[in-house]
Amino acid sequence: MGYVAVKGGAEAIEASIERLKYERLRKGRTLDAGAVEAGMRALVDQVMSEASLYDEAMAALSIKQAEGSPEEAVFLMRAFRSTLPRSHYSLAVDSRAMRVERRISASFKDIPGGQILGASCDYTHRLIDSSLLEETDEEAARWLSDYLRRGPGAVDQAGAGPAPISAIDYVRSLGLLKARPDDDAEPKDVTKRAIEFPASRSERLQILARGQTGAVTALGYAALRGYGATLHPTVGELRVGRVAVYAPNPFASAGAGSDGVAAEDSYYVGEIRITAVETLVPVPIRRGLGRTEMEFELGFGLSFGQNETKAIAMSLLDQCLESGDKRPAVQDEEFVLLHVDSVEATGFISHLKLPHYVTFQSKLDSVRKARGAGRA
Amino acid sequence: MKLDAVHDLQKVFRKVLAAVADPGSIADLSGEAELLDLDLPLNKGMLLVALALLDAETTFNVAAADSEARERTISQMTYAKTAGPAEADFVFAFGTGEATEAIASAKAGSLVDPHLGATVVLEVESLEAGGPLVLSGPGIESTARLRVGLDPGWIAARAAKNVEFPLGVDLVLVDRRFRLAALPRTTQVREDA
Repeated sequence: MGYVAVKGGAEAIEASIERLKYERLRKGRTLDAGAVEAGMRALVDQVMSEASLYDEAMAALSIKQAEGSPEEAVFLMRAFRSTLPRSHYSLAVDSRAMRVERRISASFKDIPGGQILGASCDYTHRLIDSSLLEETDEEAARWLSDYLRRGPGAVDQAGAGPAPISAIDYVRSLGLLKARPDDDAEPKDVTKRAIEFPASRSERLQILARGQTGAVTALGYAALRGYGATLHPTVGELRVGRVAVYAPNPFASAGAGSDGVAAEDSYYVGEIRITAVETLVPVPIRRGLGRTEMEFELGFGLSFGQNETKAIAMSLLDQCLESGDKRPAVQDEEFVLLHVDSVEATGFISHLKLPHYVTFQSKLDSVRKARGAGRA
Repeated sequence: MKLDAVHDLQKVFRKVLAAVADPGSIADLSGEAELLDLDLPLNKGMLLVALALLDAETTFNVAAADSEARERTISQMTYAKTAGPAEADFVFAFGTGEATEAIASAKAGSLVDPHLGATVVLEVESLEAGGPLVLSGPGIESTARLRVGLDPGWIAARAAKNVEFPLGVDLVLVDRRFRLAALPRTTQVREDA
């Protein structure tokens, strides 16, 4: 009998998968993955960031296959990622050595190098533009060539090198930023070894950086609104731009010396666009005799692509988790880190759809028995 | 090299997987070995297993009278790093004495992480279905029979290594004609008198 049920299930599943394809195609139009890559930059960036795999073409294809569902696209990308051989580790990337496309500070108006607004929705009116309904490729090409003729200066300027001093360095030079020693420990990778608590900072940053955008945003928002000990933080610097990635020579003799040597004997792999955020969070320091002084702590957020809200929320959560006081939920690393992952959260919730016939039947039995006993 | 680093190696992986799932069955890697048209200092079947299973995350050890050229080839083609015989995730043993020694010294995992037990890949003269070795255990309906062209010291070494299940090592056997069989640690091996 069990065998029959399984066969029936297999047929139904085949039919369901076919129906899914029908839903994707029923309007008689196919979506070009290249068009997704070109025109859905924000979604491509979100999927790459949550998948922790930087591949715009694969992200676009996943989005097409998932009919635009970020959780499904991220699932596809993570599954693909798990099949890839790990051949090389890049050298550490300094997010300040960035070809800046956008760089703003909410802390200082006159940051060295100036505020570079770059591309952002922040300054738009949020009115739906019905003219986009009529937009054509020819029009786009004409606008593009005109823009590039008109504004190469602006494009070049955005591509200029990093400013010599960042806003954070300035606060540090005033002695207002809690000093921290450099931590050059080899980062741990939660995709290789399951996380154990207490987590290292590298594990925290990794989980937050690949966290679901909405979940990281929600918890960062909660921290900001007072469900953590966070006083009003300020974005010291937010930068979006491209950083170069280098892999060391895999056949260099082991322990060939310092990073300097490794950097010379390395290969340029390509460049990736990232969003990096440094947030300044004021914290009260008790000095005794009822005297309290303010000091700043730094929160760091980083994300593949342009994901500014997520990166800022991540920087708030980074600072929350560094605080060491676990009483507020957003400062408890088990609470935050175990609940922000897209595949884990959607997977566990989706498993509720799986057959629980036996467990539910036994629960039903025990409820009935308990009620029967009560009446007797 | 005509070998496709993705699709042909996926075929090799599937064959190794099928061999592990069905101990005693013999897979044929000669087609893929033919595509590996390089002048190589080691058995191409052994190298194909290395190419399919190793990357920079894994470590390996070569047990052979002359191991250096083989080590260098595997390391350059997979980016895997070498490790001692007792620490390596994968051990590639060439020759009878080396096989017994490699099994005896390979890591068996720990009770918390039994999956960290090594995979030992042995080069053997020949592999044939039907033969004096009687296999039983998961994946085998009743029994399967195998003939392994290798002096039999390895059988006792394997039994001693796998005595405390789930600790132990998994064996992959590759012969000179690029035929492959696997003996996971769950398989019981008995010699038919």
